[in-house]
Amino acid sequence: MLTQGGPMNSTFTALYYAYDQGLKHLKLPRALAASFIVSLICIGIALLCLRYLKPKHR
Amino acid sequence: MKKTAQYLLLAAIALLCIFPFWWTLVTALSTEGNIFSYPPTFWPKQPSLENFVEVFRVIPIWAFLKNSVLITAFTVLWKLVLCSMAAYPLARLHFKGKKLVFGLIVATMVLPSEVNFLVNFITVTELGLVDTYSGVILPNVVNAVAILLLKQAFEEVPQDLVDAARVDGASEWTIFTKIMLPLIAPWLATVGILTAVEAWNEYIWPSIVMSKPDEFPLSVGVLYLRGTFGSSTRVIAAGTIITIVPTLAAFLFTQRYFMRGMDGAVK
Repeated sequence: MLTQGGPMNSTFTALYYAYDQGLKHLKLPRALAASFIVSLICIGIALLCLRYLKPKHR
Repeated sequence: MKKTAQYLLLAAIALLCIFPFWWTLVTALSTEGNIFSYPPTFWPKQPSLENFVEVFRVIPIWAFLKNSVLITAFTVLWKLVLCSMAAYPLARLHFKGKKLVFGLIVATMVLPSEVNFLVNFITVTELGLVDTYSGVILPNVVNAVAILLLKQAFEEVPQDLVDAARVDGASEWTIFTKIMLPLIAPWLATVGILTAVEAWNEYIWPSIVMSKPDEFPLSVGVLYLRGTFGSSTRVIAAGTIITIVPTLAAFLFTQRYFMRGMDGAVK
């Protein structure tokens, strides 16, 4: 938000792309597709963390 | 020696955290000099409240303040009601699919807020809540962290108290409202304060939902100074200080509740 993706797209993240497409250009299907992919990646990382960082003894 | 090093490290981190606030305050209080000069000045030159007066003169700050208070108050109220009602069955009742429901609620914590913005924007638009306080408040009234904190609070209440109430013929609703809620009052206060600060500082969502300036909360409305003054950074800094003062006051007077919130999150 602060950098608006700039300078020269160096801070243009996948989430900013979703925000930009959905709420600035109102291309909601594209924005939702982007955010869905990001969500899947986040859930994947969370599951990996749960799998490998779980304490052995509770 | 090790302890001294730890304290020095903590002091350095604290200074690093405080620095932006201090610099903003110095900028707001100064009336002379270039704020982008190098090396920067860390003490106001000819301190004055002129910039603050200018903020009150140029933007309808009392209207923004009223909007912020309304949004914050209703967000806190609804969050306490809904999250406690969601947390109680998860903590004390046994029903099919409880683990699945809890897992799904926890899973929402890994999703980035931008994902929520899009879905919430579509929902709010379809419900015709754009440009209304409800549109700002409703998407923020339930969240996983508050449910987790309150679930933990409900779990700490001794089962004997609940059993005694059941023997006396109390219904589940009576147990919830007359026994459980008063016992977890400090936790409710914690969630309430954390929510209040969050709702007060909320910027992105209100700026998406609200388009009429007279309905802006303070966090969004203060940015109007940017358009009004062009490059008058000092007045913008003064507006920012006015925005954060209530949050700082809330923190100073309710520190222990904040710490409880942190404890709950760590457990």
